[in-house]
Amino acid sequence: MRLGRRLHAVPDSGSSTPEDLLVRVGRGDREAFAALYDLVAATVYGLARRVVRDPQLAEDIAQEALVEVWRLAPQFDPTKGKAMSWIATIAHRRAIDRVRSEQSRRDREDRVAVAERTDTLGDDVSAGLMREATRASVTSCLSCLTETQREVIQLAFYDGRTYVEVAELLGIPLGTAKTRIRDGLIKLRDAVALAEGLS
Amino acid sequence: MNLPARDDLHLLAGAYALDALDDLERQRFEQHLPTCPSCQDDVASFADATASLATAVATPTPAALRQRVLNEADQTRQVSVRGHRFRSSSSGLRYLSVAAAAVLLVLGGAIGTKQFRQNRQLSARVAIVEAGDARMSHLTGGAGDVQVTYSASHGASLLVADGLPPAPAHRAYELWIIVDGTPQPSVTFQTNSKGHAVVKIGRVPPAGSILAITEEPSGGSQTPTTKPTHASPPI
Repeated sequence: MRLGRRLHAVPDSGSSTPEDLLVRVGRGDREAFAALYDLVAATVYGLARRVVRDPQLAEDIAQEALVEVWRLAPQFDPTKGKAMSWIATIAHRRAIDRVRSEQSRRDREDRVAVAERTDTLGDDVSAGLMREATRASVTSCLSCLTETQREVIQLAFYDGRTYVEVAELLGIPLGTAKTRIRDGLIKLRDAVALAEGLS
Repeated sequence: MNLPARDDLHLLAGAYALDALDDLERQRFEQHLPTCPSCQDDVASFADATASLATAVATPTPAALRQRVLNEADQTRQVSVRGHRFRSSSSGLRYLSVAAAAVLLVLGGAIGTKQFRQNRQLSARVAIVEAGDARMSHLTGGAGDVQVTYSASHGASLLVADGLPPAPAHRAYELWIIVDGTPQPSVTFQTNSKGHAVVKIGRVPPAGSILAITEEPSGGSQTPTTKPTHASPPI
């Protein structure tokens, strides 16, 4: 392989950050991509599964999103953001696209099902097999939100609802949905920053 | 539906970060984003929060997925930010990052299988950039980077400026398509305080033409009144 000699000189993936790996992937480094897969695939797949629910469909979406990460990796700029955020954005958008196109074929007034799905969210989160530290920090971050903030963020992010749909489902004004989402994200952001600062 | 007033757009940064806008509002917000540093800051700062929501639901992957992904990646060509075709796109993509990954978000979700494309209404802007026949031309000269991506199949182009200082009061930048030595006026545009602009152009520069930018009165001119600040090699 053309990069072989240099690859052997770099540390193994265990000591590489996702950012290091993604930058190398952007240079066409297939070994770095395999290592990156091992770091992020569970998140990409888990997110797809949470959003679309169907395991087989989630697998397809995860595959598409991860190949998209490979394809777009040359555009990643580590000075502008974290690799995981960049990758999660790609994966989430891909899952949302799929769930919205399905929703548009269905009756959109499926309020009962939505309410049920929202109720099970706590279990899903706790069932995620992820690093304990991160899980603990996210769980605490989510719990730092008010119930109403958590509700809108869960409906929007995990169920793929637009804020307009969220407002309709909850019977609240559009402006309230907008500000509630924004306030919740600010709180979540600050909690994540705090958790990272402490770790 | 009713489009939100401009002031309202600031409030949409959160919903945008969660992908909770419909296509129309997303387009509108993405047009607003390059001109609004506070929304850029919001969107960028929310990225880690949404990433934490993603990692919170991480799930062990099916064993077969790894090899399938690696195999498909093997067959998939990466976008190039250094190669000939997209020689100058790195600065455009830098802009995208600065604009809190606005277009990147869309690129991430929009480019994919044929089926996905058919399922979605893509914004015109993204459609140009992702078109299979998209080409990019880099305009060099003064401060900042300007590039124009154009797609014959879409019959449209997209100008992205990065680090181009705002024009003085009552002045604007104007893009010219110089065909056989004759400058044809294209669009006028402004950059924001960070030197960003994204402008759609409803035509494709013909082969052999040259793209150039001049500073003009804010209403634009029919023929250039100043020397070009930036110009491209022949298309």
